[in-house]
Amino acid sequence: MNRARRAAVTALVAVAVAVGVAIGATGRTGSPRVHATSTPSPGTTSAAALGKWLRKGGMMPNEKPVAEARGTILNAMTGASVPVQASVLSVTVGRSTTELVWRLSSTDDSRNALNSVQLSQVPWEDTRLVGLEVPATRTTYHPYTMVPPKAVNGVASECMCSDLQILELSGTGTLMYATMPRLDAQVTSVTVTMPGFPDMPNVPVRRATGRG
Amino acid sequence: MRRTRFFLTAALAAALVTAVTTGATPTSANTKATPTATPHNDTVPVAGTFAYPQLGDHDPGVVRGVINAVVRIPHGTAVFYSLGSAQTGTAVNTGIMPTMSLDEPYSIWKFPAWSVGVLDPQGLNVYRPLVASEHGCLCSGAPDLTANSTTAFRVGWAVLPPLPKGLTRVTVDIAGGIQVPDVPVTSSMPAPTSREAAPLLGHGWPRLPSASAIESADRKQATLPVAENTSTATQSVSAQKKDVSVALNADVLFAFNKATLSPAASSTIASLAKRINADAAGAVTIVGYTDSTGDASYNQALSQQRAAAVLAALKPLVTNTRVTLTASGKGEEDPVATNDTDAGRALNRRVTVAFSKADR
Repeated sequence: MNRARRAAVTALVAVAVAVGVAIGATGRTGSPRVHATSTPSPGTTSAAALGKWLRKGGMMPNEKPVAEARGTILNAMTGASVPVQASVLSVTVGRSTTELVWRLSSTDDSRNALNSVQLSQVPWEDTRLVGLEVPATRTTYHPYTMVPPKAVNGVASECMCSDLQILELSGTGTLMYATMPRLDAQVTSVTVTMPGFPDMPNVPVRRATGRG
Repeated sequence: MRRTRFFLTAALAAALVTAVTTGATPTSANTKATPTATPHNDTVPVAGTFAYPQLGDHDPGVVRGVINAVVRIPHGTAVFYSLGSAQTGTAVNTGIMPTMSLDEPYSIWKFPAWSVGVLDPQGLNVYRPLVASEHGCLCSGAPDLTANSTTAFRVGWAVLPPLPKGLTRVTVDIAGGIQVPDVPVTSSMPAPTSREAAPLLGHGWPRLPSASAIESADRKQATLPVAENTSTATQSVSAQKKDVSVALNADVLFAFNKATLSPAASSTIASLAKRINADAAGAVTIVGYTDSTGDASYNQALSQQRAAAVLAALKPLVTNTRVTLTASGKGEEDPVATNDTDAGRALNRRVTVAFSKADR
C-alpha cells in the first residue's frame, strides 16, 4: 500500500470511527433513531426522514391498549348518549410529571356524530375530571388546570389535557392526553377514572428513565 | 505517530459530525441572527412528536408534528415546532393549528393566539405566547403554517415569557391539549435563520421578533398560575403556588337535605383545620353549593346553612391567628359538573374552603 493510499484509508477509517463516536455520544442524550416512517425519537434526525414520517400519515402511537372501558358521552345537540370506548395506551411517569395517553373511539367502525364539546366545556363532564387513582392512598390525581387570563368567573376551565375537538368519532378514534403531577416512585399501577366510564383498575405505570 | 494522527483525525471528525447532527450553534441565544437568503439544514433537533385530528372537519385528517426546541432567548423563551399533514385537499387549510382564547372556553375565534404553552411543574405556571397587541401574539400565524402543509413540514414558532432559572425540562402543551413531556430547555438557537415566517423544514428556522419587541410584550396575560388537583372520597383539593381551594364532599359532611354535620365529617374538618393552621394567612372563605335538584331558593338557604355549619365546626379548631373565617352560600350557582347525572350532581353538592398560603 503506497503512502497516499494508506493515508486515504486511514482518513476513511477515522471518519467512520468518528461517526460511530458521534452517534455514541449523541446516543447518551437521545440518539437519532429515525427510519423511513418510524416515529422519531428525541435527539436529532434528518429533515428528509421527518418528511417521510409526515407523509405516512395516521394517528400515533399505534400501541396496544393496557386498559379499555365502554361508556357514553352526550351529544349536546340531540341529548342522546353516544356509546364510545376509552382505551388507555400508557401512563408514563417522566422527570417531573405523569402523562396519560388514551384513545377515544366509537364502539365499532361506525361514525358517531357528537356535535358536542362535552369533554371540554364547563360545566359538563369533561377531561379535567379524568383521574389516576393510587390504590394505596385512595388519592386521585387530575390534570393541571388554569384560569384563562381574562375569565370573569374565575373558573379553571383550561387544563393540561386534551379536549374533544372533532365533531364525529370513528372506530379509529382520536388520541387524548392528560398531564398530572409526578407519581411517587413506589406507585406501580393506578386505576384510571373517567367521567361516564367504569373505572379501569391495575393499569401499569411506566417510568421514563433516561427519557429525552 | 500514525496512530496519534488517526485519533486526532477521528476526534476532529467526531466534533464536526456531532456539531452537524445536533444542529445547534455553539453560540448563545441571539434573536438578531442574520437571516440566510437560501438557508438549508440537513439535520433537525427532535424533542418530541405528536399527532392530532385536524380541527373543524367532520372527516378530519391527521396533523403530525414535532417539538424541535425550547430555547432561552433575551427577555423570553422560544419554542420551535414543525407541523404538517398527509391529508390532501382543501380541508387541510382549516384548523391545522387551533386558536386559543384568553377569556372563556369556546370563544376560540376571538383571539388568534396559537396554542403553544410550556408547563413549569415546579413553579406551577404555564407560559403562553407573549401578547403583542389586542389581536395578536408573538407567534406564527395560521396562513404561514398552512401553506403547502400537505406536502411538507412547516416550522412554527412562539415566544413565551422567560422561564425560571434552573428549569431544565418542561412539558410542552400544543395544539389544544397535546402534551409533550420532558422537553429539554436549551440556550442554543437552531441555525441557520430563514427570512420566511414559517420556512419549510430543512430550510432554516424562523426569524424571531427583536429583543425590544419581546421585552415590550405583555407577559401578564402570558403567564397562567397552574393548579395541582387531587381528590379523595371526602374532598377535592386544587392547590396553586399561592392559593388553595378545598371542596368538601357534602354527601360525606351532611345527610341528604340536611345542614347538620354527620359524625363522619369530624375527621375531614379536623384535617382541614390542621392544614389552615399550618399554611394559611388572611381570609378563609367558606362557600356552600348544591346541585340543581329542587327549588332554587331552598337550595340557596341550604347552601348557606351548610357553610355556616362548617364554619362553626372549624372555628374552635383553628388556632392560626393570621386568618379570618367567613361563610356564605351560592345555592345552585357555579356548578363544577353536569347536573344531568348522579356523579355530576354529587360533585356539585359541596362546601368549598379557600385560602391563601402564608409567605414563608
